[in-house]
Amino acid sequence: MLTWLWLRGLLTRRPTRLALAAMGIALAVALPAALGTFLASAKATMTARSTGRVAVDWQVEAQPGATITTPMPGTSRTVEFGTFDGLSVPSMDTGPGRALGVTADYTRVFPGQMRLLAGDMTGALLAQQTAANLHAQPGTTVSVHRRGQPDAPVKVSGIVELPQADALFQRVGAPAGAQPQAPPDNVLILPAARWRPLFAGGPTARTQYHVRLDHHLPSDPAAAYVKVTGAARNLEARMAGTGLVGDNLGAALDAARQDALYSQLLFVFLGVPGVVLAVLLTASVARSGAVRRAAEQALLRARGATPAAFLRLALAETLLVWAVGTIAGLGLAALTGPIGTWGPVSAALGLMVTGVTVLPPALRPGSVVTGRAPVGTDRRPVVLRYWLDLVLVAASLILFSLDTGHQLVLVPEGLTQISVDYWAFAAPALLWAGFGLLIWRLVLLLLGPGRRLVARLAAPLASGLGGTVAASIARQARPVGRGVTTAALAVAFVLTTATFNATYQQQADVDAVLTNGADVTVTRTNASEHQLSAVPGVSAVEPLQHGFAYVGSDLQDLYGLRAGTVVSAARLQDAYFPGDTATGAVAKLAARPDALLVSQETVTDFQLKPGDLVRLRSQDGHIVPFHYAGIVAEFPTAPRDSFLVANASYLAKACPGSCGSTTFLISTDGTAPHVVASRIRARLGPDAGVSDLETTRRVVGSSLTAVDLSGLSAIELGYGLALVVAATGLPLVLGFAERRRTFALARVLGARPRQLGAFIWTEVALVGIGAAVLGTAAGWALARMLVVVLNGVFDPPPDHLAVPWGHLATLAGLCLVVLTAAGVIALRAARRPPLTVLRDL
Amino acid sequence: MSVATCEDVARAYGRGHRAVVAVHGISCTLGAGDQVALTGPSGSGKTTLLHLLAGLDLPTTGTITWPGLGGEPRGQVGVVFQGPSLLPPLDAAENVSLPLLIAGHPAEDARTRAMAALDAVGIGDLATKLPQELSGGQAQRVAVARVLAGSPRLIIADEPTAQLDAPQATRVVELLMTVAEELRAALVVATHDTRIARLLPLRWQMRDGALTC
Repeated sequence: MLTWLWLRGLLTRRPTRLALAAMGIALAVALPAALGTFLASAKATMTARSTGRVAVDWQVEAQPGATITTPMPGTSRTVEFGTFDGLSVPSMDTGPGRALGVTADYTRVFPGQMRLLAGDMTGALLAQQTAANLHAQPGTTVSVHRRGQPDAPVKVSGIVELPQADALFQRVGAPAGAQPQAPPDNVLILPAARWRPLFAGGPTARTQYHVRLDHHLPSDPAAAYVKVTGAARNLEARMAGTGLVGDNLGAALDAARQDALYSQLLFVFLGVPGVVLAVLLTASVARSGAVRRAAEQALLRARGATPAAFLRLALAETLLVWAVGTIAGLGLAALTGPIGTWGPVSAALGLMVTGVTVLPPALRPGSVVTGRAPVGTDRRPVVLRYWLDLVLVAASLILFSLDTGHQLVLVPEGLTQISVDYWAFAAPALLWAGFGLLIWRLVLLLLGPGRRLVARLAAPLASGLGGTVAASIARQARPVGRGVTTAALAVAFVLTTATFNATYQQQADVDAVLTNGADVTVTRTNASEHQLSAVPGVSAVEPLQHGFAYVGSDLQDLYGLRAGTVVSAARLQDAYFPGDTATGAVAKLAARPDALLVSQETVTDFQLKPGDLVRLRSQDGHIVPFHYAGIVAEFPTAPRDSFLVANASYLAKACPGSCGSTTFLISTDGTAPHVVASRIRARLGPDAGVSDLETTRRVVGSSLTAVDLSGLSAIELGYGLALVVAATGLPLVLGFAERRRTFALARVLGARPRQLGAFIWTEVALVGIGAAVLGTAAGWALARMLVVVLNGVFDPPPDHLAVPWGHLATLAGLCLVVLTAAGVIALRAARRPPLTVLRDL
Repeated sequence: MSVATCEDVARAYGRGHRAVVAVHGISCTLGAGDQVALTGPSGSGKTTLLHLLAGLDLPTTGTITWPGLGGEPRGQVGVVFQGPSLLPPLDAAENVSLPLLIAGHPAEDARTRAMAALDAVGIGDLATKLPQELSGGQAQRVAVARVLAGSPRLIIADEPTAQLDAPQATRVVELLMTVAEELRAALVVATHDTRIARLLPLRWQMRDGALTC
């Protein structure tokens, strides 16, 4: 009965305090539930996209001289591989290539393997590059040159693109380093019945079974990877050496599981501080009203309440707050998607948080003595007396500097186990804790020895009351310090998350720009720069020569650029040119026609010094002299390994027609790149290669990028802003509510609203400035550390953090609104007739 | 000249049939230097009348004027409350100087006058103590010092001895009377305690919201 009476009393007389505590619990429950839901959904998406992108799950290749008799799982088709010395039409010919024999229904079973560009798929097909080399079209008859056998005429029925040529022409069973660097330039695909008389029995003929597996896989990429690779090994064991499995599906899932683990780590790195902040906030709410609670409990005790009765009341209050907070938190999380198993997990976490924050103050029977001690003592908290803050910050920095590799996730190739370096968590965790305590120390210092400074700051607001206002705030140093610390940490949380997300987005853009080269990139075209400039939506066109040349025996990509315009048009960044700037490197090219930029690896291999002569050999044997001018690490459309950059005009003169073709890098005038790309595609026809930045971003991004961090960002940033609102506003409003008696007494003593405002606005300013300055400093430092520790998430790694100005402006605006609202609410409450307030208390 | 005058004053809380009339039909005059004991049972309207005299509350009907205070009681009335009336975050000296600062006195002057007032009530050594570190009697002395420092023309004390033992209660009231004498201020002390009431030369009696002078 007493319990029900107590609960009813709390609900009717103290609903605000209960609601605010429940709100803290809701925040603590909502974040893990929403993040967990996002994580589970992201993992499932990663698995689905990884498996969906694979054209052929397994390529099972029969070993020379062996016949596979083991039945293949799922759906399989036989594909024959042979080689030829060349193809020719009357006026053109090509080098050697590969001939494939496929069944009639192959493209129906494996639709991702070939994309028809022209003609039909009923007969012989030519790969796009091959058709371009031969100027062949559907209907053209090409002559197939076979080693030691007469040439065979083949009539082409269609031109196809092979989107996954790398996997198709892999060396099955060979380790990653021993795989061919590029797929063959010349590919002829024949119906199996046509292939056999031409190539069967040849010394290079191979048979593969292309397998499509049942894709009912676990949603977690790591579990799916284990299942798929296990099945592949099982098949190899059953084939007893007659065949090897090229596990394309496993390879795709291998990349996805690493990203999945990174997303899991992001969940921890970004989520745990948010939950801890919600705990701090709830604790401060639960702690508020301690004086009144102590008085109520003292009354209960005086009327004979036993410790068991206090325990029942405390448990009832705790469970009530937990139930309301959990329902609200899960409701919020449900807005992001179906919660699933993360619901019970988050609810259990909420119970724990409620037990830690709400139960202790409710359980501790108060006395009149505690009720009479609303003002804190001058003693510093124990943790600060022993300099724990500085110890934690120092320990974090030492750990961070010791872990120079920052390899958070280790995925040993070919092994099913992924290992995580959990020590990497230590440095950011210690820094969070250290900064939290350090901020508290700084605020206590400001309100203690630095009280005169507060008085001086308060002077413009308080006129003659500056000293009294400073003294009043200083005597509330502990709660004010806790409030400023919580608010500063909330700001740091938002800043860290926003900076991380902005940096991630920046690097994803850099990656896409590097891969695609520009907003829109056009290859394999005879169109002129002028024609492309005329396409609506195009603002600039930059031609870029691309070919290949030998440096010693190493065949490398060779790029020729137009020094006058390339820096802006191709969005060259300083980071592409180690030890130099983009402008500086291009100026070196402009200064000397035969200047050459090479990779660091080439400089090391050939011990090059600036000005050294470098002779390149084109694929058709031309020797072209260059002079080494500088190092290039990245370049639009260039591969990640070694490549060369020279002046396009010099290339055109030195090896006309043999140093490659022209790629056009196109900047748009603000029109979406995919729109401009489709306009260009419509003008140039299907033969031209047209790619755009938006599509590339989706295609080249890792699985993590493909899933898109925007969902995670929205959850994190939305939560962060809610946390900032709560962390800045609540402590102030609750603190002012606790001091209603003080304000009422001041009114009785003659204080005017403006003078009461001095007390209120000084404290508001203190919380606002403290949270902004200390939170920004802590957030920036934490973001820097986080980006370094999570380096593996970024591709390429960033050399500077992206500042999310828009988000920071939103944060600043929101803080300003919340602080102003807290001040106005307090001022309005302080304006109530003082006798009414004193009578109510 | 009278310090305060009430003419047919009434104060009701609430409206309509739920209204509670705390005081009614009160007409009285308080002269400079008057020292009045306001007595009456609990709920008789003593506190309401004191708040009206201090200008902390407004009458529902009737008028109150303060001819001796230039018509405006703000800053000229010193109030000693029944319970703790010190501001918890401020020490004794700061509590005493606060009304002076509010009234616009320079900080140094306010501090000097506060210290002098604390010395005058015999607790100069407690100037830096926080309210929570003071006993009930010491806290009431600080409240008296606060009144003294403000040099009011009217001193209102609402049950200032309710939480004190008899010797302390007597000392506090005598202190108030001394202060009022020094300032030539009118003093009204509400009390249940007839022994305390007898210390003051004038007595007003409240019963059911009505005043008998």
